[in-house]
Amino acid sequence: MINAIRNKIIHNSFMNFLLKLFAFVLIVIILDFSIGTVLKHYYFKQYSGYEFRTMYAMEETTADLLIFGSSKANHQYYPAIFENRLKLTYYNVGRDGTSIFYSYAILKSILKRYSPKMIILDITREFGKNQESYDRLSMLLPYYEKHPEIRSIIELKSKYEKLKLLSKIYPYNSLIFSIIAGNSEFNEERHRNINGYIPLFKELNPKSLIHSTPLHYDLDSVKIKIYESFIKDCIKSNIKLYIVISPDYINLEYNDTANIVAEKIAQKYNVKCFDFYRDTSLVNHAKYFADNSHLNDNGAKVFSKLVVDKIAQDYQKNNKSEN
Amino acid sequence: MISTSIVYFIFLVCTLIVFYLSPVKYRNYVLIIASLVFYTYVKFSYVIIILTVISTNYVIGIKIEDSDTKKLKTRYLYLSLLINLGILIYFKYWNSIINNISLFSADSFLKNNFLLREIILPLGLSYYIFQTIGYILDIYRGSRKSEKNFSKFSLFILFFPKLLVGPIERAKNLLPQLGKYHLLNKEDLIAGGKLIIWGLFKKLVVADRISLYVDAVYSNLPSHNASTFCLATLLYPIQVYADFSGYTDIAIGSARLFGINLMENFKQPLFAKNVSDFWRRWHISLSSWVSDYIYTPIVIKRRDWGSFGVVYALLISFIIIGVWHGASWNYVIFGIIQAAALIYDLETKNFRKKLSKRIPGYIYNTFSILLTFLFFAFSLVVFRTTNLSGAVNIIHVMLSGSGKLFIDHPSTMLFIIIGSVILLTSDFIKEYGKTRYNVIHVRGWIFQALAYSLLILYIIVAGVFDGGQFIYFAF
Repeated sequence: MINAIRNKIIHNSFMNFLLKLFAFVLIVIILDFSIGTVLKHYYFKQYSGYEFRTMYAMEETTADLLIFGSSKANHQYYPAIFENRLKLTYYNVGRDGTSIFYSYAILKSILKRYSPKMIILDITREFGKNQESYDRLSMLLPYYEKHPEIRSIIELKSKYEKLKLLSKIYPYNSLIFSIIAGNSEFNEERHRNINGYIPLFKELNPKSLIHSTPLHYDLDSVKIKIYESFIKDCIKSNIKLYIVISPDYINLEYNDTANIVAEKIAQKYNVKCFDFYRDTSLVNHAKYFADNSHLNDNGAKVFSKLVVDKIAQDYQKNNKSEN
Repeated sequence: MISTSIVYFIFLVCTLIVFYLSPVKYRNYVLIIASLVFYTYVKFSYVIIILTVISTNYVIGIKIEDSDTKKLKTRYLYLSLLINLGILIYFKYWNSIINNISLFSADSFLKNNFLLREIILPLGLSYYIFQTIGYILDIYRGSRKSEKNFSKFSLFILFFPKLLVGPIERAKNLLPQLGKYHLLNKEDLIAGGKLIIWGLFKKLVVADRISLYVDAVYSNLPSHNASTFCLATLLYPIQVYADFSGYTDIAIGSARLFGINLMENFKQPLFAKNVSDFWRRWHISLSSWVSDYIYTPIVIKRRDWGSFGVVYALLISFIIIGVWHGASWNYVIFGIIQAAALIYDLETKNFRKKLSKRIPGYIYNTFSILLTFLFFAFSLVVFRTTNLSGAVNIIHVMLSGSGKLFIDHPSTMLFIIIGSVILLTSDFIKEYGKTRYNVIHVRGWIFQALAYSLLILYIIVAGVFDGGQFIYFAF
């Protein structure tokens, strides 16, 4: 009798605990869904900032010429020089801290809408093996639901990404203040850009350089595969693709391992690759650099002229032969 | 398998289900197998080392107890120390020792012949070696009996929640709990769950966010100025505290889910009023271990030296605490700085007592807390930099210059401020008593459920889950 009552009390108390646990989980799910929905709404309403430019690149741009790549692409290709010389409309989809994964995801979304006439892909030192390239795919998480074509790329981030994406807030992790700024008036000055190009006005102080880029490192075969897919998709969509390797401040005696691989693959697909990695008109000229890896606005103008000369030569030759 | 990863939580839930479905008498075995799986997941070869430590010390513990003479007991103690410290020195300090000896010789004979190229430090090694040594010393001193049940002893060393980041458990606390499990205790489950959530907040929201900033500063030392170094220096203690105590909370919380209470490791250390007080609140399991097994025995042995004996004991103890963190001279210097501050504390105790009576309590206490925090923050500059010249350079820049504060994105700073304010407010409330404004401690499950739900959601909103968040210092 006593045991039965004791068991009943324990049983009731445990049931009570389970009910409370269920209610707790329910509260978390409801709040997650509600807050996630609000964040999603305002994320896609932004009109400035990095996230806006990613969204614009994926969903709105219709420019003839697109510049792809990471920070080197974003800060080194001066729009007016390309627009005037090539008579093409320009948009720069490059973004700081990204890799070929990001570029390929953006390309896939764009190709769903239209085929640009020309793409310039800055592929400098791109294939190094590092976890950051995968982690930084988090920039694309808000598009997982809306853009099924890039899901396979986002899933490279980790095998648990699908599980994490059960949370509606997770895609907007760490973005709350950017979303607020991207929806507010005061952000007019944030990341001021010209058709996606963000100029750097700093001038490099060579004394502040503390480390140089390693010459030999492990290459990431996944990145190389994605690079090949990028080239193949451009060829398939009849887009004139140019691969560019841009300079670093420090002059190295030998070319970078990843650059050599990028050039070889471009050759394999008969795609023009212009290597400026050790170009003497830029390398070792501190006045053209903002830091070791990025040209400043003046450097970008000089570099853009060098690039556009090479492209114009090839582009006009091709156009003539087509006519 | 770090304890903030998804894999860890899948593993934890699976282990909990198997644990509670198993009869009580088999639960030790469930936890041993789970711990071995956990350690194997980290690296298989580590298991061999930990099993060697377990089996040898199990036998030695019994032998010490069974020995009739003090001489024989001492021999077994030395054997245990030789094995434990030998493993620790070989894996953690060998290369550093060879490198330092090589500095005094012209040729590179030592480096060429004795430097281990492929050495990998087994994770958690310092924690379980210190725990094992503590157990053996307890038996040697006669303050506890050796554990005859091999499975229980194995679990004492292996128990996975505390394996990688401690606390460094004591036999008297942990061993009696192993095997005495409840059928299912909801209080344990609730308390464990709350601690895990709070630990995740500390680690992911506070520590990892601050580390984005501090790492960006310390990895580009020549590019930064005094204001930036000052901010990084003030943030770093909060980062280290949130990081270490966050991991510890997850460990203690995970253990609590199985009905096991691990010892407290941090007690609002950033509210310490002097350096002695600080070390009673910071990494308690290590500082109390050093106090029991190193400091106190030296003080007793050197009691005829008077106060110099205490100074000597403090110096030795804190050099060991410093070296425990890693095989580098900056850790030794960190230990010496702490010892020097404790000696200062000791020498000025009476003066400070008199001073505290002349100044209103709240002013004296506030200044004491701020000074202790500043001392710890500046001593950590040596800890954070890999070489002494780097630390001296940073302090020189801080004292002699100024400059514009480096802030990459305002959002990074906002996340840091919000996280730190929540953490320090919670510690303040714990330190100075519960109030009705402390939502985490309110009674009534609805409010608690809401508070913890919001905490979980804030972790998802503001946590740093991987390298996806970064400060691009390039320009």
